[in-house]
Amino acid sequence: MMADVHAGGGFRRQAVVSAVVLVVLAVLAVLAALPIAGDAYVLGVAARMMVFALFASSLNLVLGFAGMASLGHAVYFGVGAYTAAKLSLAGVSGFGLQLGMAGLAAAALAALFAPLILRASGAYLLMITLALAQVVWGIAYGWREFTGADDGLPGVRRPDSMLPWDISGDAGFYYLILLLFALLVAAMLVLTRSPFGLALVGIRENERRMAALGYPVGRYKYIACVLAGGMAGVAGAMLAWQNGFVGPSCLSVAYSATALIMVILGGAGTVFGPVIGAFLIVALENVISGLTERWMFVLGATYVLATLFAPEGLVGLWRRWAEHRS
Amino acid sequence: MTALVVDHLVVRFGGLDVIDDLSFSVRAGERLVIFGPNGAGKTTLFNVITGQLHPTAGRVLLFGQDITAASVARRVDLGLGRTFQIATLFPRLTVLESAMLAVQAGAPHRFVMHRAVHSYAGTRRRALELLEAWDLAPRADIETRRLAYGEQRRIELVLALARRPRLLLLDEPAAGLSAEETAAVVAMIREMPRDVTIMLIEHDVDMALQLADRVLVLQHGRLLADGDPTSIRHDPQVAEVYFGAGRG
Repeated sequence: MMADVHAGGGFRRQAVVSAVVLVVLAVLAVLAALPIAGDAYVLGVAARMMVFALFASSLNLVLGFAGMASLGHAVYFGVGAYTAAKLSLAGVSGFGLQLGMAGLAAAALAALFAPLILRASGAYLLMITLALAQVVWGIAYGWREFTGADDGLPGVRRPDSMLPWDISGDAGFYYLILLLFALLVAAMLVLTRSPFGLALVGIRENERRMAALGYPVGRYKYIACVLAGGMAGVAGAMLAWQNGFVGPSCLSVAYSATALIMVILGGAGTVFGPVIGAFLIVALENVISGLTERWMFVLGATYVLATLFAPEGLVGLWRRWAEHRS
Repeated sequence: MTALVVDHLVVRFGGLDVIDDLSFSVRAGERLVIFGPNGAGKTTLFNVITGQLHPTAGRVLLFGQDITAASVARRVDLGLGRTFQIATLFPRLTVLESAMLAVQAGAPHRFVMHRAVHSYAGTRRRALELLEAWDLAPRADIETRRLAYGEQRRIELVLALARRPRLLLLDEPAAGLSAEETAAVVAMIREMPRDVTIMLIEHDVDMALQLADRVLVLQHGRLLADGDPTSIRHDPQVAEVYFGAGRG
């Protein structure tokens, strides 16, 4: 009988879930079919979309699930990118090694920063994350021998993979990105539905109550920071391969803000929201930059419109519409 | 057995002693109601016992262990549960998710990342049992923020009970409820097994006297009276401070 109680109202939910599954499969099918057209430019844009979707998703883990804002999340993205680039330039070409080291380096940095970040909340949280990121940006910008300063590190090569297909060509490399993208989004789906994920949402919703229930709130937030940092680092390595170049801009506040806008536009605290947000923003960037130099202005306007008309993001908007209709 | 000992407790905010050298103990299984006018230090006392606030001086012992410096989580592990005066819930979680979150707080799998919450049958069953007991089962799949106020107050109790506390602190559990809802909550609290010790802050005198084995009356952070409900009702000092406002 208890099972029946919970099944109440389940029909509509099931219909929504099937609709989401269909859309996800359709998007994956389109992404998988893209190389058939063979246009290198389109493949590049699609790969960039997926890289930024992972970057935004990693921010979403702390912002949308654990409820901690950040204006410095690009620091992990950039450190991952630099790590992959340095390894590549040093002749370490293994794909797993580059990806793993990029993730570890970024996660280690997050583990170092997290104790400082966890002390702050509200506006101070934004300031401390911004300040920490700016320090690392300053190092990347200033240390010419190691990071190439504002010239960055050109000549990053795509890694060797142990995959059964060749990734030196555009299509092969694109499939590698698609595979990583699909795996990591699937991992996010699993994580956010786990006991750990539910506890993060609980902390976002009511931190004091979580503490009163006996949850070690600080430890959860710490783990979330480290996981998010590591995931951003992995995305950063993918960016380095995709661009063949790493510069200090990928550590910059502009990148942090872009990720923030992607998460908010798509819908914070949902798995697919940041993916949708990243896809839209990257697509918009490619269209707009052909028309005007003022991309940052367009990005800002997008942000203002999203917060005014879709404060819970596009996913939130869609949910409200679906609710209204039923 | 003694559930709780409060020993020469002092809480000072700035120059003000909100709790001023307060000592008392609570027997296991007792139903203790704490009375007192606004500002008497009742909620502050709860915050010190649960660890949200650290005392200026004095000690708190929970089931014989000194918890004065213990973390909130440690106290919960030792069997402490509480409700809040203003319902503090998880607005965007469903009722069932909230209950599962509360049950899972004491489970070893609370850090697991690779398995779905709903696959933990034991946690889920216990959460559904609690919802059933508090008449919330039909609302299991509804977001907490969409529930009526009375239902939210009941979720507050479900969250506090999920980990089977041995000492339960209830901060005005019936605040803002209708007479009918209050009666239901009183009945539920009366039915709780005696292995749960209950301390209750309550302004509603009738409700308090229905539940109490013993009543403490606080004023200005000090103990004004300590006795069974009948003697407290007839204590002239208490009548003056506490019931006086009604008569005047």
